[in-house]
Amino acid sequence: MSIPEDLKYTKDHEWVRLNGKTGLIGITKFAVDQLGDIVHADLPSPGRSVKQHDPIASIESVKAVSDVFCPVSGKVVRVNLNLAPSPETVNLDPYGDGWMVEVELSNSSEIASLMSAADYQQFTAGHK
Amino acid sequence: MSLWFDTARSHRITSLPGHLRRRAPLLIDVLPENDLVRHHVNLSRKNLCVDSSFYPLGSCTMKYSSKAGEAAAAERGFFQAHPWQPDTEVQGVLAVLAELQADLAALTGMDAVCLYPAAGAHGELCALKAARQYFRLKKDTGRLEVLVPENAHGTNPASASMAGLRVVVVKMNSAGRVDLPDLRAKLSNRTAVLMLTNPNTLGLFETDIESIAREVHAAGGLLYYDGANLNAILGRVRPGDMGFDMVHVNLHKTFSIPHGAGGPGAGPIGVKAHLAPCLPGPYLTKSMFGHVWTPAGTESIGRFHSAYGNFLNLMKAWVYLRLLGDDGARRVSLAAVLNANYLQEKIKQILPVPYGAGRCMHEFVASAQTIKENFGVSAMDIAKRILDEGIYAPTVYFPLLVREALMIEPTETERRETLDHFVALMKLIVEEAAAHPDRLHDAPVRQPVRRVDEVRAARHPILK
Amino acid sequence: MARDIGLDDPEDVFAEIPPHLRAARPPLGRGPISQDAVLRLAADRAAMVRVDRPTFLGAGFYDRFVPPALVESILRRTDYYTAYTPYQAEASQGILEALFEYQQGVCALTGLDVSNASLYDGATALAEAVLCLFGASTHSSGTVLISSAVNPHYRAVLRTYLSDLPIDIIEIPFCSEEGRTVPESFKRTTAAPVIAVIAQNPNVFGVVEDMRAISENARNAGAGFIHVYEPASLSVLATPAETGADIAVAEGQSLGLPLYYGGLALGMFSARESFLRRLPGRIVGKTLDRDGHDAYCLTLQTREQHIRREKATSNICTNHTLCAIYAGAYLRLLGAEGLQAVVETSAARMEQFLDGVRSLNLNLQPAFTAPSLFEIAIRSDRPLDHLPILPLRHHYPELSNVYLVSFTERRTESDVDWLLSEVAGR
Repeated sequence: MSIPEDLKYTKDHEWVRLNGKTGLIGITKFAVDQLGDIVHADLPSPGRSVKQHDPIASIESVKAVSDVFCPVSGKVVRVNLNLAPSPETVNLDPYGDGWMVEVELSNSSEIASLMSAADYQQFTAGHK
Repeated sequence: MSLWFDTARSHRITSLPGHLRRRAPLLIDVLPENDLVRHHVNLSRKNLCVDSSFYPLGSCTMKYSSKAGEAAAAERGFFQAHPWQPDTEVQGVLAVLAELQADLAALTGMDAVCLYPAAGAHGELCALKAARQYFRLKKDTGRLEVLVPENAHGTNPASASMAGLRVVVVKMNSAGRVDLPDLRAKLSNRTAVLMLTNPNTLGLFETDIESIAREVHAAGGLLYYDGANLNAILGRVRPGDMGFDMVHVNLHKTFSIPHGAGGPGAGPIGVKAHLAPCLPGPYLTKSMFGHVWTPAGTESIGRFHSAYGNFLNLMKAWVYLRLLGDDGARRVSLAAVLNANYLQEKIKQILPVPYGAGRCMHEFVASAQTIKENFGVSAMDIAKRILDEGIYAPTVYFPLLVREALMIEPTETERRETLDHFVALMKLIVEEAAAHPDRLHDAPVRQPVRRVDEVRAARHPILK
Repeated sequence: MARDIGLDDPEDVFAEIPPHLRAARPPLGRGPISQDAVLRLAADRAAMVRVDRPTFLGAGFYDRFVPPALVESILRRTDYYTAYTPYQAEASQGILEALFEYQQGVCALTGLDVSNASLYDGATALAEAVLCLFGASTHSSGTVLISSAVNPHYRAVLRTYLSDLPIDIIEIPFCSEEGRTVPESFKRTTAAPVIAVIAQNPNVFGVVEDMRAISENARNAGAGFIHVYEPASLSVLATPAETGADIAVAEGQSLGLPLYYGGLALGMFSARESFLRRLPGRIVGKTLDRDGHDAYCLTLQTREQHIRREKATSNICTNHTLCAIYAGAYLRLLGAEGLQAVVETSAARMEQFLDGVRSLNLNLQPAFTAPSLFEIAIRSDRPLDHLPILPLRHHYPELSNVYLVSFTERRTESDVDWLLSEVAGR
């Protein structure tokens, strides 16, 4: 399973892609495989403030529903409106078009607490 | 259209001010009576049901429902009884309810029974609220934890949270029973209730039940019996004698009332005397005028149903218990457990039964895990293949403790020939899984539709 | 069979159960009774129920016409009633399609976007509606404003359901003159946010409420609006969609289901699209099978307790399928015209009664001035408890000499004449 090198990861299987002051957030392929077919993503309204590791969204598959925890603190600036009509995008492209929210970071030092791709690879290896 | 009733005209509606009246046209796709009957007779045929098929659906106790209950349902006195008729006018109804209460109390070993809950989960909520009220009255308000074993049904945590309680999960040991050391570690002065089924969801009797009860009571908690699996011990062991303080029973399981394609059911609860004042009211009592509804006291949690529960189903259970008597009740549990053990022995030769080293009670759980690993055929594929043989599928993927679970409950109302036929079929299907896995992936092929796309339904809901 | 599993004595199959736990004596203390004898006993019990005179009782349960076609093709159809919940969709298509038709019927009636496949009864459906609004709100506590002219049993069940949760109930008194609830009285009066406003139409006195105005006040209070209705009445009264309701609930027994002492109940629950993924209970969806043919299945099950567990807002894991299928079929049998005939005939009998009260100079007065449908509260100067009408004093002590007289399409002209003559004391 290829894990993009340029992202940061959490133990709850979220990823964040940094882009200046904001970060795009989604869930990893590992999480998607565990959940199965994604049928719905419950996304927050833009403007909402969130603390690191607080639930920011929930994602539903046919067999499970699980919270998405925000890897960083900040404010939601954008959500992926494409997921409402096409939730399957999360299955098809979890690290790309399947992103969920974009957050403006309030504390960029939190990044240091996240895992690198290599660390995450090792972390998930222990979960199989 | 034929006249269904005598009609009359009135200006009362047209004289209502416009803003109170409906504006949108009421568009209903009307069918003439003949076509509507035909439509439903044809729809009803597109289902497997107990009257047409063996239904070994684990944990659901799909036994044959005595048709005597249906015959009694035609009685005009039941059919037309209005819930607000004075007690003196409905003594027959109240007698049925009182007699059923007494029977359920006797069979569960409880002191008081409440017939209002319309379903098992409704009963569960009712009992948990009563327990919370019990502690509130004792001013022991810190007890907000409900202990449930890890293989418990999902309603347990959901009901707990509706009663404002939190769930703490207790581990199971390798023998598939409650792990006593873990239970001990989790009991505290925050414990309100331990919820258990016995036999448990693996179909195993919790042999340590007395120690469990002692520990829970010593910690100041209450013991709740989920009656989902009462069929295994009916007339032999009473939850009250095992130390339980509360119980709900599913009349649509153990007590034979038909499942109604998913409801209405009925989920009465029973409690020991110390919890009785917390039950919902009004209470059925006996006075010099006969049976009367008596308002509940301030200790009661209040009302729990628009009327008095699902009377039609309560009445059918009353019929069933009269047909059974004590001998019948003991025959039910004996035949249910013998059938399950007979089937377990035979199925063990076909599929692994992870907790099947000893005897089971009324059901057991087989696993399709090795078949999945070896041939890529899942428990769901097997279930769909079984449907094609005109047999309903066992419960799949529950309990979660067993991977690729197939939970099988034959019930007492099936004869040996039916069980043998099922075994032969399972053998064939497992052989097929190795030789022609695609046949299982493709199943069903002989049902009204092929495999239904449930993912599509959830992604793009069309609900009307 | 015991031999096959290596047992000499069948009873040994219970060997694992500690002997002292086994019941010391037969719990029931009686033997089996034959089917013939049990049916006689049932007939004896049923004979002890008074059904020899027309009933004018209502208040949530109605003596409506029960179409034999539906009794035969649904209630007594073993292919329906001995099936289980349609979890295995391929072997349950008939049940699923019939429930889908029920959902269509409920949405047509209420004008709302989505309906579930039914709940237990009207009272618990109302409680579930409040839990649904609470779950959807961002508040961790709050209040519910409910008209005191909502069926007292519904209010009682709601109190029970909310008693362990951080939601307070504030009852809004009805206008003692008009018998309806003044829309402007639904306003936020405490610091706590208002989660829901609840009114019933027609209300428990049969009085028609101004639901649009109540809904507007709910909106102003920042609350969701729950519209409690009687299904047949929606053929003529403003629909929950038209009143601006977020959720609509009802008791469905009045869709031609037999009374059975209030024990063949049907909780109806529909809502706006935005609550789609928060509806309690089961929902049927239309989809395709592998070959691309239309098919049905239970859907959106992630809302349900077996997945969300303690995060679920409801613990409901069943519905009243048989009643729902029946109600859906009743709607298709009667259609808009038939439902309007139910309402109009009931209204005509009420008028006949009121005309009779006037022309016979009976000492009866309508208790309220606002217009009523189906049932009417009347004030009497002497006790009428011996008649099949409902004294209201048990639930409303201030209405000590007021009775609720309910009319359905089953009441004939001569039934009403009989009641008038009984009231006159002849």
